[in-house]
Amino acid sequence: MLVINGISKAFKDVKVLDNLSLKVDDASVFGLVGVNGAGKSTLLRSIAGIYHLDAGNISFNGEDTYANPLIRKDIFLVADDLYYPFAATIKSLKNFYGQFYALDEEAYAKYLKLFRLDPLKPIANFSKGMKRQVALVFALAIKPKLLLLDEAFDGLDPLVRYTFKKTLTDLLEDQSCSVIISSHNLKELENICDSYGILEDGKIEDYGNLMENKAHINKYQMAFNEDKRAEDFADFELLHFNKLGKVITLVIKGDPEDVYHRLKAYNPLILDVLNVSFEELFIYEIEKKEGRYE
Amino acid sequence: MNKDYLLYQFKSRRYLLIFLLLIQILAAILPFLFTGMSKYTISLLASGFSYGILLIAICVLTPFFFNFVHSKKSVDTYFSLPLSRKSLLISTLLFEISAVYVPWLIANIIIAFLSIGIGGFSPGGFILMLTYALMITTALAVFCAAIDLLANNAIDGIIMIGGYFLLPLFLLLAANAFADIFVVGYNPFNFEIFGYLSLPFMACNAYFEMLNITWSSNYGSAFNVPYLDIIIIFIHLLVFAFVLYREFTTRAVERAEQNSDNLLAYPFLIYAYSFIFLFIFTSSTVFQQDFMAISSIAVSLFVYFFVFIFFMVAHFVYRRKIYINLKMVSFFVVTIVLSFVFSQAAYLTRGFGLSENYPEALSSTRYTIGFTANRLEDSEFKNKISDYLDEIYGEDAYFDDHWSYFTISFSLDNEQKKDNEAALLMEELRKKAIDQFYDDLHNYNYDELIRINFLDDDNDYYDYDLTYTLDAETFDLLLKAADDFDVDGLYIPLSRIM
Repeated sequence: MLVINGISKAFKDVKVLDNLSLKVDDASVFGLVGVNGAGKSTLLRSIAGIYHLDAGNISFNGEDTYANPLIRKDIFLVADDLYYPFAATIKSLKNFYGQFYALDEEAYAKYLKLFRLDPLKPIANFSKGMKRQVALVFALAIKPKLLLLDEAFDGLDPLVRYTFKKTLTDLLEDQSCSVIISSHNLKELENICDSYGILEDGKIEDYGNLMENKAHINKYQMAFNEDKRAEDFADFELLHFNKLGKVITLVIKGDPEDVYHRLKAYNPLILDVLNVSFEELFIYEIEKKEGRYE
Repeated sequence: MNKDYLLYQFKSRRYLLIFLLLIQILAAILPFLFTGMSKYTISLLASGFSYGILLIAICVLTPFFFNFVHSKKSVDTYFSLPLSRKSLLISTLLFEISAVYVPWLIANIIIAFLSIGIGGFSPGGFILMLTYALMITTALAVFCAAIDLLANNAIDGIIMIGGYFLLPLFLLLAANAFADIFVVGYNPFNFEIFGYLSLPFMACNAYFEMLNITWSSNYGSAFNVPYLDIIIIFIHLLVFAFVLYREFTTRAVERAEQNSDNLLAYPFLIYAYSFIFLFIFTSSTVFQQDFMAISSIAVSLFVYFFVFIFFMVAHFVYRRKIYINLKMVSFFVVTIVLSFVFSQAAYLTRGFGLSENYPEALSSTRYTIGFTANRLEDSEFKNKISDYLDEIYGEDAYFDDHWSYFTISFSLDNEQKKDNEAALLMEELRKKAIDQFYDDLHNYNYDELIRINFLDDDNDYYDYDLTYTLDAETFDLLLKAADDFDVDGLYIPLSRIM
């Protein structure tokens, strides 16, 4: 289990992580979302033991990831900005990673074939997407217990994205591996994440089980003869309010059945309940945080 | 140390190792293909080439091997590996030292083999030389790595290494400027002292010591081991190893690709060099001028403007943008004032007392007095010199009284010094020289300049220039001293000899 306990990290005067705490269970896929500059990459690098934290600590299976380098054998980070040594080939990288991690030769050969990559060609000549595939090959072949993917799907074509997601699912089924994925592409995350966290101002603003949270946030479309305002629904945990003529759209957090019955009491002409996507959930949470309903 | 990572480095950088080995072997063998030189000279040449390559390789390869800390991408990769920073540091350093030292070692074994039969070669000394070279290689690699890590990007790392390489030299220039301008008679700042501050200089100098150890025909049973140098190199090694260890193990990853704002990086170098330049210019150029003269003000302003341009360029390199603030200007002005105050204090205190400190002439053992008599007004004295020279060279010899220079050297033992008239005279002349220097710093009459040199028991030289019209009486005294005591040398005007 990954336990993040009250960590803070500042770069000069800019506080990027501020007393952040989080727990990620084993064998789960955690989606890390946040606006640009929210601190997602910093958090992933901190988990990987790269940054010396100003406060707090991060432990994986009870070991501090910064202080204890050996625990990092079980952690692998695929950074958003990939590094390959000068004139490196996949084969030379295999020698490099092979010194530090228990690289599964069979898996390595399998994923290399799956992604159709030439191990002897210089990586510098690869496209952006292919370079990311190289990193993913090693991430999968090393079989870490904690895989950190920063903007994992960036530059991947749809077929490779599909293959990778399927491979990731297989990996989770085979072993007790946890994955933390940060991405701006929330649609991609929605399919594979079982839990999520929204990072804002250096803190996890909201986190939990994605399906549960999605079930508790719903979109309600209603029509009224009379004029209605957001203030009329002040008793609800309102995340979003939109009005178009007589039709209003509300996004409300709460038990769907309870909310439905309470809204029914307003005697709307129509009342429909719609599901929200992960992307909408993210947007509404951020809007709520910023006090914007419309 | 991580053995696996070390082996990986050897495997992945095998082409570099082969290249270094080939270069070293070529440096060892090629000089032996030359003809017309003695085998001894060839051996020295081959060793010199080989050692030069070793030193260059260390300085060039260190920033290359430690470059991974300067790039955002690579530092993330390396510092996220399941490897402690200490292991990463030691493995990288050990590989670098091996990569440059082993080819050099092989080359020198080849040189030793090819030099069989020269004579004077000491196998024991050779082994000592190899050990000494290993120590220097390690110290220099640690030095370069430590300095490189003060920077936050690769280019700055190279600039830092250059800056710290040259700093002792500029310190020496500043100290010499101080001694030349403010301390009459004696310059206590020799190159050797500052050499000890500079590891690169010591490393270069060590070559000659190593050759001495290996090739000295007088080697015999007494090892001429440069203990002092070894101790000083060891101190350098300890200091820079501490800096390197600290900089590497506690290094904040986010420093990569940022401005090199570590206190010991640009901030220290820019201000240290600026102060040195300002002091040298203030003392040598500005201070020696008549301050109120318009021309002097113009020269001074030009000099300060020049240093300010250097200061701005250095800040531009530091911050990668044209940058100026009140703090920088204030520093510059304060430094000018400080260098001026320092110069004035040095002048008023007679070089902070250093000029009075040495030597007590009466305790000196050897005196040399030289004088230029370009315009000998005293006819009695002129005749005396002429007679003196006639006595030596015959009456037909021509004496050019416009270009004449005499040097009389003599030594006195401790007993002779006490009441010797000539020795007392020289001490009097020395004191006059000191007074004259500080009373009127800028106005020498070089036509009637007397130069007095003392050599003390430690073989340190003290030079005094004095504008003094040498008269017949003084000349007699000096000649008497030269006659009575051991005359080391008498330099006669060139025109007379011809």
